[in-house]
Amino acid sequence: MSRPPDPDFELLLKDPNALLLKYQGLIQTIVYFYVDQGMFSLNQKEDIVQSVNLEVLKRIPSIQQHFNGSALLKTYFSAIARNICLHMGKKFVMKPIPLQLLPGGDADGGHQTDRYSIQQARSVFGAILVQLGPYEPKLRICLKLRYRHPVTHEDILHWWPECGNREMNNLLAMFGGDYRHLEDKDIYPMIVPYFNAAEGKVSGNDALRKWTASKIQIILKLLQTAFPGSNFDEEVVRILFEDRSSPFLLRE
Amino acid sequence: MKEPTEFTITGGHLSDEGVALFVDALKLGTADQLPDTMRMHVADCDRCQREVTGLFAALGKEDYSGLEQHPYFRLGKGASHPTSAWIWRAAAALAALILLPGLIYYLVVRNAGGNVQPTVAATAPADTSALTPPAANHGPSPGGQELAANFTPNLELEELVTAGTRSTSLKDVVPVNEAVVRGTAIRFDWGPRGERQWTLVIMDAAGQDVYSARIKALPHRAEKKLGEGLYYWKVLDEQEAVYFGKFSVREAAPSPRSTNPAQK
Repeated sequence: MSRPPDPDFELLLKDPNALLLKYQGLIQTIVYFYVDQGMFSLNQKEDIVQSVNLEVLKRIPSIQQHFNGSALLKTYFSAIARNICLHMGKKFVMKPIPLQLLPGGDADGGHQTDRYSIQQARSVFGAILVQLGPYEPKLRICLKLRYRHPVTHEDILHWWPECGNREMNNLLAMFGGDYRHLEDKDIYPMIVPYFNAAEGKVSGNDALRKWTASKIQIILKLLQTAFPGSNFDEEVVRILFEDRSSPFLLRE
Repeated sequence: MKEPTEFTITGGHLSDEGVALFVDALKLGTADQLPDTMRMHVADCDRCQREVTGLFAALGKEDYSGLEQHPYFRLGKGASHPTSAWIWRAAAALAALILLPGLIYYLVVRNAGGNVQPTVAATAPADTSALTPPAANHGPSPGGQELAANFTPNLELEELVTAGTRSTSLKDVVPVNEAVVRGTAIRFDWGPRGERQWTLVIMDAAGQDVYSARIKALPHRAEKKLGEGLYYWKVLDEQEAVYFGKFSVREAAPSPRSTNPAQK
């Protein structure tokens, strides 16, 4: 293993107390995040920070032993601090704080917390799509179809690199413009043969619809994981997706 | 370079460090540099997605934009696959130096559609004066030395292929052994079908995993663009490897010999 160019790594081995001091801001970031999410009350937060510090100190020998220097130490440290927070959070009753994401709410000129929430949700949504990596090109097409967004040449090539000219022209003719008048029962029989050709499968119309719905549920669960105090539904997924496809819909 | 297995714990999930590495990638926009096995696993694993997403969200206010170095990722414009790219370049150059005569012979004969086993290392050096390099219309390809290394048979995996294709319990395997295919959306299929859980792993000639997927339905298309070269693949059931095979990826249109169901 080559020595990682992370100076914190040396600190971990030689002076863990100094490292803990250096990471105080990081630990506060993690704890305050869960305070914002309603896991801990505001007046608890300094106590929680101290409790996390104590627990991290206990784990320093284990961290020294197990951390092998592939990730940034500060991220790894954050993962440990987060695990401690989640463990401690189980002792407390959650107090959900619904996030305001819908346009027409506080998105424009609203409270700073709301604007931060929107930025956060947007960022986390992007991170979720990256995690769905191999499925992202297909998912992008499916979400566009579900929310009736125009499908582009790039979308199709990204999903189906070997798409022929004839198929490309057909797809753009069907879904490249305004097709909001079409219903799901119209769209799926039109698109499924192309998915079957692209994937070498023979799937029915319902399979693609169910696949899309399952991925939306995964996204929702992950948003819920990211923001434990939230109560997101598919409308939020639609808004975040549309924001990603047409930036500036959700202005900060 | 860290092997992907170093990021996992028992049960195949990401360790805390694996989660941290994935979050680093999200923060730095370097997810394409993560090991394929890791990306494939996370794409299908609810538990790891939750861990990665949760940590990413909790670190929302942390700014990584000023970072200039990372222990795993190569940062900055034009960053390619991380860590020891120079090692592979050096290895490719060395391998090419040692094996070049045999490799050129191998490449040209395969281009001509000859039915020659690619046991290049054991082939007597040929008179290379009259041979031409791979056709220019093979599309984008790495430099000659790297391309040559891409086709260097891996002796260890060759043995597994020899043993694995003889003793396998699988039938009607696609792609057939030693098939020549194009490198996009390669179709894999085998029998018997049923409820069994399979894992497909593709390795390059250096023995590095380049693709891994849990197979839920057959046939399976590997949604991974593979560069020109020799590849090995294996099928694992819940307990062990049940098949080893190999194929070559060429960008040019396949010859009649190479036509196979993997690309139908």
